[in-house]
Amino acid sequence: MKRILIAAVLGLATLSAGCTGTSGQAKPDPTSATPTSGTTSGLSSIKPCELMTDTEAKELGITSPGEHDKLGSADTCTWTISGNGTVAVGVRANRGVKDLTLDGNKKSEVKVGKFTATKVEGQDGSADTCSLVISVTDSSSVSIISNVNGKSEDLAASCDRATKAATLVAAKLP
Amino acid sequence: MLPNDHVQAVLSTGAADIAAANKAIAAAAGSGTFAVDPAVVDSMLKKLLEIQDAVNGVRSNSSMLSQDTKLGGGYAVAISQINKDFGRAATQQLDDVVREIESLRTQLEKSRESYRNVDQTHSDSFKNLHGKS
Repeated sequence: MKRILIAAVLGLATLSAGCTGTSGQAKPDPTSATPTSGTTSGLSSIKPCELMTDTEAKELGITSPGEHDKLGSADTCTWTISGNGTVAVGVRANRGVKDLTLDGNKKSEVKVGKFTATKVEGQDGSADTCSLVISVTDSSSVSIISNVNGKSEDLAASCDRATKAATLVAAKLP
Repeated sequence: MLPNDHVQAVLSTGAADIAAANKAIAAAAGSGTFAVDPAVVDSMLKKLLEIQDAVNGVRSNSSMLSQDTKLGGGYAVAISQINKDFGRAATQQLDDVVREIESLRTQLEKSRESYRNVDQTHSDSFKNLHGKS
């Protein structure tokens, strides 16, 4: 019992360490000073949590509402599938795919609805994180990111979930 | 120590300790020496699930933020590279943490089964002692 409590406390400590480590990425960024125009994309008025309806979310196993946040240049909505990872949608009205760093174990161009998207399997070396970044215009994009439970065996399921979510999201984009 | 060494040190300690707890519970539950009241296990599982969901949320946020990390020119290249290395190290260590939590939850579920089996065995023995079968 004592070991488990210690493990849980360490888990919490790790969590806060993870928060600090990954969100503190302030640095000179050549693209932030001169954002390319995204007004024609129509993304600025889009609310990310409205890009998937409750019914659509249920198809992906999501049972709780999405949580809205602002992360860097992205207006985001994250849905948690308890015990089975997350799906996040990030709308960037002023940043195109070319303005982003899409780093992963495997990268490919795919078609999502009427759009072209960059698919990143194992983003940043994660075993199970799969991202699809839809190129809406040259200067605007929408990211869909899925993770499961950190295992490499989860990658296929994660990409399948990200692809389904991306298809649902793409259908609502201008 | 470089920043990514720090994050590896902190996060790998967390993952390693959870892994050690996994092994200890697996061994004890397997030998029947570890049996916890199901109500306590339920409470622990609920809390672990909350932590697991929170870590997955952090992993998702980290992935979203890292897409903004654009390599610049001049001195910014070096800073960006450090951020990128730091991000990759954190990402992989967080994978380990969430994987170990998942595994710990599985072991706790097994310990609950172990408790049920032990409880049933005791109950049967008691009945036998009183001539009931």
